[in-house]
Amino acid sequence: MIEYNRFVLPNGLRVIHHQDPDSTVVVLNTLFNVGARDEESSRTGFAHLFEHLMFGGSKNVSSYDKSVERAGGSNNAFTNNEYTNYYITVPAENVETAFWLESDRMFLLDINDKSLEVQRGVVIEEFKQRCFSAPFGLLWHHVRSMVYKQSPYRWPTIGEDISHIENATLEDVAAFYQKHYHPANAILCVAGQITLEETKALCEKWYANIPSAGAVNLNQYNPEPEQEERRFLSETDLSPNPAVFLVWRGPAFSNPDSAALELFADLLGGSEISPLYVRLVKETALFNDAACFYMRGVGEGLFMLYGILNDGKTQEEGEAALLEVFQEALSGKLFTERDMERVKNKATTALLFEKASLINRAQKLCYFENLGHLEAVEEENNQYREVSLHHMLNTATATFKQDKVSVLYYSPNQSA
Amino acid sequence: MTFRETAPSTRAIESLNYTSATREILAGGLPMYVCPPRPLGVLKLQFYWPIGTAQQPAPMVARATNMLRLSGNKHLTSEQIQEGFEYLGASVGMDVGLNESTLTLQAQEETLIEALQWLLKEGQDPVFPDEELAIYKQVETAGLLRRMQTPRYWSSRECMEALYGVGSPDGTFSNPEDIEALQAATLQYWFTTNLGLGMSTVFVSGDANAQLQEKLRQVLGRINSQEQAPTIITTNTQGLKNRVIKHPLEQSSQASMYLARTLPEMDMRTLQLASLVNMFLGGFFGSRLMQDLRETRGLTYGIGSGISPASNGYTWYVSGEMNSSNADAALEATLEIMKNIASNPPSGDELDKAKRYAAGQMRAGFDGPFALPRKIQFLLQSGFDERYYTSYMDTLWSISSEEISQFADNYLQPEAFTIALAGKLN
Repeated sequence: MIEYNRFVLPNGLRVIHHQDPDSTVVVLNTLFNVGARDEESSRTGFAHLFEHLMFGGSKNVSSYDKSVERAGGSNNAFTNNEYTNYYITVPAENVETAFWLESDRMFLLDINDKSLEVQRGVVIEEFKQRCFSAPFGLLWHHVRSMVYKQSPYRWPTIGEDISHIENATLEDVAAFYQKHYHPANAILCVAGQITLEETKALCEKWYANIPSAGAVNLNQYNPEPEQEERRFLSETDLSPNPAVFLVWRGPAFSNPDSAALELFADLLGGSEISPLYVRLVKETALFNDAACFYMRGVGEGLFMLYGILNDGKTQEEGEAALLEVFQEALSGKLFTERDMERVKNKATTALLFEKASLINRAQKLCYFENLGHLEAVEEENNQYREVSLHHMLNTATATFKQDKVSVLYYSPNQSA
Repeated sequence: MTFRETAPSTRAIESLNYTSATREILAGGLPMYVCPPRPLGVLKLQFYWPIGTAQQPAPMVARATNMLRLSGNKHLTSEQIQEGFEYLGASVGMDVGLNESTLTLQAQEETLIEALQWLLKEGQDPVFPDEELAIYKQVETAGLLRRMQTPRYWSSRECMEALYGVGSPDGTFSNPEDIEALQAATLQYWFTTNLGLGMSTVFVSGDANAQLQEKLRQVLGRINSQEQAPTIITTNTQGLKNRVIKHPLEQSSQASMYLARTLPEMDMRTLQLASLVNMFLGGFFGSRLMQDLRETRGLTYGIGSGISPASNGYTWYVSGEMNSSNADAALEATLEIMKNIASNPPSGDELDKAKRYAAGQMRAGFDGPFALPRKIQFLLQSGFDERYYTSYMDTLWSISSEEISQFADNYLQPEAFTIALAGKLN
């Protein structure tokens, strides 16, 4: 069980305190409710670019990183389609430095031409390194552009096109900051060796005077209509083997059906004893890897079923084989009650291990607060436990229609 | 002037503030370390062998053996064994490094003993079935071929092969034909002589309450300790040093650079000194490489340096990825920064900041319920005792700018590094 306290500052900042007396450190995890889905289609990759700019210093902190290091701390951040998350860990005795740094960049970030120029260069290099220099580097560009046609989920966090980053102006990023980086749109979790009283006092000192500058982001965007047809895309890739990806949309995290679909994915293709792997990698040697997973996002879910083909096998063969196992799984022939118990036990253990890490606990608390259901942080395991085999199969059958799938074929790039 | 303009005072971290694991010898002779328990509901039970790829008779043998140790026995298939663990909500992971192999059993507190008994029953007499080996070869080869598409793979491989020599423990990179050549009999032999549970040291971390510890003593106490086969003595074949190697990959839009040199065996203080010098070079965000190449000039996304164990001593390496048009500038700047550490060593504020950072990171490295086993394994591998940690802070705070300069002068001259560039090269 994760014990926590929650309070809200007058400027709208939601604070969650979680004490861990066994820890020697304190984590400040700040979630801003802005991600790639909040970007304009001509300015994609901004949430992520902005994440980089947040390390460029603020009015009273000339160098964010140097100050963290001087306190013996470390920090990092990540961005996804739905939110941006920053975390800093410091020895407990230096916790006030973390409050100073995090509050100053929420309040008075120093956005200037020099830092934009440098971070634009860094992000462009990151784009090239991730997307153009490794097999399957553009996978999420291709998948998202096929599955989503109207909603901003159609581009990945790194951005749809590198030119959007290249063309980012100081005015663009300043407007982004003003719109999304303010207390009411943020959630702070203070976790580790720190009491509630200390947390309240430090929040009062460092955060309470940040003006309320807006409301919670409502994440309004063009909804994605139901997919009514099979979609198909064929691309070349650096992978030396061809590959097939089958993708469906599904319910978001808050919908209990998403837990059922996560269990379904784990049963079908989550380990080396799953039917996908046993049938298609071990028994028929069609693929050298075959698996599936369900991504439960805040606003959307995605189910991906894929296989990387062995030499001499065609994508058509691969797709047919994937679908055959998939259909058999939906029909209920492949799974027993024991399998169901097995996959739930795995999920329970995974959750417990996840919560063993202080940073993970802090991030989880922020995530559930952002969903609007902080108390549900303790309900995760029950969500899995309540799924029956019958419910799981019915949900998967209703969600994943074979005639409404998005299919991606990758072929080796001939020049590779 | 507002209160925000003044940074809160920070304290330098002067103690690690951790509780040691307890070591005991079980009834059968197996050493077991038990880390301080935390009420989490889950545990990790790790079996550790101080043997890895440096000692293997042929490429991939150490890794394949450990990875396939649960792939079937005379009675059960790989799937049946795995299903037994998963049904208990447990998982087993294997890993192999240059001088170590591990098997980690993760489970809930209620099912750990049952999962351990399953491991002891079904995991001690593997037969390495041919069909499982064939699948392993297919999967490993495909993964290797994918890695071979990346500039980073080739820059590190070319550099290490040139530095240590192809075929030496530190310069051995597998090829598809090495994977294809794996034989079940070789794996069986490696397992029997090196990776039996009776040859391991056990580490327990997580929710190991007193009752569970007692059960573990009973179950693990039935394992009779065995001697490992004598370690195969290996000698590094020194490759050609001071070379610049290029490995073009036309399909890539990026270039990767990798620079490396050997470092000798070091005592505890010298290793700490080396680690601190490395930090200034590229070991943290505030390092000179990171600050100059990434944060000031935007030439690269990833740049850094490290000191990793080698079969005899250590390897000091610098690596980075960048746009091919930036490669020359990045390499030139890197060499300049390396050279300058001896003539312009960190002092004053820069030195103090880095020490504070190092102290904080070492403390944080002990935080969390599963941190200690790795720390103890480091001691076992490097031949140090716990004084490395108990004296860590005192040593760190006593290192002078002059010592850093001297160490850099001895070991960080660019001419001593082998350089490899891979990717799209100008």
